[in-house]
Amino acid sequence: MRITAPEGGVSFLDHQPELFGAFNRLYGTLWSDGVLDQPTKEVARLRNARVTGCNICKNLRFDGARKAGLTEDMIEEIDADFESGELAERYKLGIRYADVIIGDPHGLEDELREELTHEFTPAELVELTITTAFAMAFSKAAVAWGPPPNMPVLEVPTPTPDGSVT
Amino acid sequence: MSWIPGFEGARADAVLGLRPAAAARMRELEAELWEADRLDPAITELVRARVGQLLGLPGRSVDAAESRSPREAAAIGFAEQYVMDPHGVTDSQAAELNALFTERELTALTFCVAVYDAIGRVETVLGIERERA
Repeated sequence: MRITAPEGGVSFLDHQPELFGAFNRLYGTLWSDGVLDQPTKEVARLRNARVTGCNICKNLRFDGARKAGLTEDMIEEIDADFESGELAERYKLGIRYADVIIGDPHGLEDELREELTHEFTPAELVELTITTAFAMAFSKAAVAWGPPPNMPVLEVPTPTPDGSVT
Repeated sequence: MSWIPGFEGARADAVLGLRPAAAARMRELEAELWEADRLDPAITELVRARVGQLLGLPGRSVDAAESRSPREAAAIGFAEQYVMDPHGVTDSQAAELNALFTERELTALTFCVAVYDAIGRVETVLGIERERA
């Protein structure tokens, strides 16, 4: 890393514990105090990990999504050919929406908008949007200050408002 | 304009209020960026404006012709690279940033860029862009 963690810290983000704490409270609220199912959020998060190229995010698995049925076979389908794969349409919609948020947030087309509003409730849409945008924005930190280390697939507890998993 | 059903044309606070706890935590995180012992507020504001400009948000602009201090210029350069392509942050750019800022300041800078990158995209894709002073 091009920034070192402070003494006693795990990540360079620990240089700003108040900011890191505020981020973790937001991220944990989105993941553990939400209305949207965890697999859909996890699919969008992992889509970002692949598009943004964050090796850390790519290999993390939040256990809440796993327990709710998201398997490694399903995760393998979150690739360039996802449209022709067997993922549920709900997850494919999450991927298409994540691609818009990451690639061109002005580019949400009417057809996708209608599909999203048909599949998700208004509250679910807001939660999916915020979760995906913050997952994207903070995955870039690992990329920008990398190079990120190679690491195996690692299942971790789903973030909670008082936790520290990012 | 918001396209969320039942909230077409609604203001940002109403749309984000569909997830009130998350909206409150997001406001708290943004407010933390401006607390003492973060970045120079002038740099925070420059970064906020430049990130918003890159994302096409209304009311955000940074005058490219205006002269900048080395710290301001480096912060803007980092924000641009982070938002557009974080893989493009080079070793020399990282070294320059480390020479101009403490690691604590660089961490605050990273939070600043990331938070405004995220909020800008949330507002844009939901159609609730806010013009803020």
